[in-house]
Amino acid sequence: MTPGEPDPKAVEGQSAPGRPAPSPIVLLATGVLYPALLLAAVLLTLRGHHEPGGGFVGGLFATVAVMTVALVQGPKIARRRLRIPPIALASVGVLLALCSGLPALIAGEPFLTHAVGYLPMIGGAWKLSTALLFDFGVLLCVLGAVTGFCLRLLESA
Amino acid sequence: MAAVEGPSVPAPLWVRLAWLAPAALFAAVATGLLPDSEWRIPWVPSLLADFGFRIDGLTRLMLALISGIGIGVFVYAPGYLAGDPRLPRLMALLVAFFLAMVGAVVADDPWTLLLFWEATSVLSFLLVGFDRANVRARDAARHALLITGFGGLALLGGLVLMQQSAPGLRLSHLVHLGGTHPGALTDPVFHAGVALVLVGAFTKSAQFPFHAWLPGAMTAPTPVSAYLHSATMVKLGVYLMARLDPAMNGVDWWKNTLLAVGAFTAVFASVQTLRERDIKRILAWSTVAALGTLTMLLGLSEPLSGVAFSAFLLAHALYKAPLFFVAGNLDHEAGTRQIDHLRGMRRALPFSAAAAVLAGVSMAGLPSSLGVVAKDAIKLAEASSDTYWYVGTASIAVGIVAVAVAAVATLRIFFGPPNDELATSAHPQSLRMSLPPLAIALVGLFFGLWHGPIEGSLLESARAIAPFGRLELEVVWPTRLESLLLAVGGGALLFWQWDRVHGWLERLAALDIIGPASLYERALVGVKKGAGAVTRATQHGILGRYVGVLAIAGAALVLPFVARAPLPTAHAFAPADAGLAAGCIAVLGGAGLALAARDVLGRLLGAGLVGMGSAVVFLFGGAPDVAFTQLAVETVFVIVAATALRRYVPAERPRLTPNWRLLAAAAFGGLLSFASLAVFAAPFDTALTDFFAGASVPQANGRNVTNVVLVDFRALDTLGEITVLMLVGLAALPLLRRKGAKEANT
Repeated sequence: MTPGEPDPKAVEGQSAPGRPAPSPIVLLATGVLYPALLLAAVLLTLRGHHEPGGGFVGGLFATVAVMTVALVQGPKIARRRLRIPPIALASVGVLLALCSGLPALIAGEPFLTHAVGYLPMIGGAWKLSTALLFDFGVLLCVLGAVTGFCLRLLESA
Repeated sequence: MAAVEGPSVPAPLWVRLAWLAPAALFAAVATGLLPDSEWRIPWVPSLLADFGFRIDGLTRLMLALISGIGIGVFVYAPGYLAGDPRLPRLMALLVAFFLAMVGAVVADDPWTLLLFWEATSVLSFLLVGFDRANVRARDAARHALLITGFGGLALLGGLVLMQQSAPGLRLSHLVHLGGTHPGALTDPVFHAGVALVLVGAFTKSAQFPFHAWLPGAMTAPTPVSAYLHSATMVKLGVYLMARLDPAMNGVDWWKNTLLAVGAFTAVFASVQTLRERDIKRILAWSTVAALGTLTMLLGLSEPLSGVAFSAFLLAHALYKAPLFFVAGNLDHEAGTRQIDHLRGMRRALPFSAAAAVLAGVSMAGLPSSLGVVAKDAIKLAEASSDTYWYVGTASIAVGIVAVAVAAVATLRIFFGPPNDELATSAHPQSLRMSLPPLAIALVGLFFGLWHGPIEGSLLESARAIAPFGRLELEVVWPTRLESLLLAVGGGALLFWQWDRVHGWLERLAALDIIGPASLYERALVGVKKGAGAVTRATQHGILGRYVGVLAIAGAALVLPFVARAPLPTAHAFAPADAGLAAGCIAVLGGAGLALAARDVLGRLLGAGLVGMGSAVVFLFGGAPDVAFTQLAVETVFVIVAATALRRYVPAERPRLTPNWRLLAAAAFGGLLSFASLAVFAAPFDTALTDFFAGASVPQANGRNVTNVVLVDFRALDTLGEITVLMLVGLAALPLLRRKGAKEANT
């Protein structure tokens, strides 16, 4: 299991050259699991304020999604599908969490006091909160830091 | 030291005009713009800590020194390092030091003082190590920082103790401590605090046994030595002692310590002076002797010791700073500071020669110099005190050596036939270098001839040390003549026989191995060796042993709690529904698998199954949040561990024997299981649960309490945690080299 040289023609659903070809079943499962796990991550984070879930679990689910691809098709392809470098994701996450606290400062309240607003939508009002922004920051930070570490671990092995 | 490397760089305007800053302060002090005053800015009211400042006579004297000598230094430095690209760095550090010093002497609040005090230590470190390519400069800087940094810690501890005993204590309270904090002087805690503060002051003012860093600090550029290590910073320690003295002067241990340490330091440093051949180090040792004398003076009885202290403080700065400047000029001109090679330099450096003679007259304490005023005051203070025999003896010895050093710095170096082997440049030295020493030495001579302008200031300063009693500077001619003849006679003899005495003292070099300087060196080596031994013993790289240590240490930590915990009751083992049972079965199965598996991957999967089983238990046990997290964490953990294990190479060295492993595992697992069961047996405190359950929706608009705590109530903690997580991720990247990166780099 060694990652090969970068192959510009490598696309989703294939593995990089130099790796044993994964079984078609595993490959297919990966194709389904990747978007499904990412979707689950987002949903868990969205509902986290009221139901079990939250940014931390969401981040871990997203990590599992990326690592599934990395284990089956190699870290190179996992990085490509992630598009953004993991450490950048983590930094953006921390910044996002930081920014979610700023409105409170402007309003003269203690830092990170979250504000809530309701957006009228079809099927009832959507609740929007700076807490959600904070939670997505947590998601991105967990995703970035853990995948960055795991991918590098895979590449160095 | 002053060699110009690379192209000559013109000095920026601010560097050339930096002397205006101390000049402005000096003008303010001299024209009386700074009357006695206090002002405070609130800082941490709950700790009774303010940014508190106060100006009185002693502060004004210190400010006059800092700014007056500062003008000379700030004029001199651009000439000394002319054309050197490092000059702006030197000036920036010197200006910062100037400000820190001003802050330290106007500080009234102890914490404000500590802040500026430490700033002077750090700036001294940077300035001593200014020539950072020079290994000796770096060693000297480290020595200075370790000693004064240790002193700063002692000062911090001492101030804390003093505050414990006398809450809200400020330096200005020390003059009438009985009025502000009546119980303090009978409280042993207060005395312990004062003792620690005294240790801090001793390190700063280079008192034995903390003196060794000061001669080493002479690797610094000359303006730094003149400013920090003779005229100002080293005076900060004796300044602080002077602040404490009004409160402590009646206490026996305080007086005896100051007298003994001061006298011993003065004599010890005087002897060391005679062992040096480098004019700058000679001056450095004589500075240590002067600091010892100042300490000793504070130990004498009031009130005349205050006058003597103030006069000597001023006189010493006014003669020692010019002598340091002169040493720098000699180094610049002749390329050496060894007194064996320097002679007849008056032709090459007429201005420096004049400055050295004027300063030397004051240092020797000859009539019509400020030095003699200080000497008179010292004599009177000693005469009026119930003094000890060794104080008088020490004074005489220090006086004799001072005369000899003054003679070496003037007669030996500047007069006699010139040394033709020394290559001296034809053109005269710049005004920036020749003027400051001459000007400062002239000021010293002027004040010696005419006490009028400074008498008031000195008495004011003395009053800050000894607030009660009548103060007069009266000259007693017979005493003065007697001591003068003794000092000059002895000094002349010593000067005449300097080289022979030097030779005798060199035979004492064997004694150096028990000296503080040698102890410091050995401690430094010892710390390195000790750290190496500890690291080798604990960081052996054998994974099994790490786990064993963790398990045994964890068990040892839990043991005291378990021993006191109530026995688990039957309630803890209450039967539960099918979901819980399934989770438990998974946990047990996983544990069995981990035990039975032969290879590492199998054990890992078994451990993963234990984690999954616990997730199921959580899910049915009413903690779905924890279950989700446990599930995700377990998955990621197995992935990471499996990836890492591919690189795992079993240790070749002997691991823990199976018996030990069994014992450690059983102790750790057994105790932790017992502890978690015992937690359930104890009555559950629901205060936090009730609060969060009640406050979650109204205060944070969320029903999931776990998440609300994370993103609302403890949001700042979470922000800190994810920041740490990001930094750990970032820090791990360089540790894990990408395969092939090495070849790509080379």
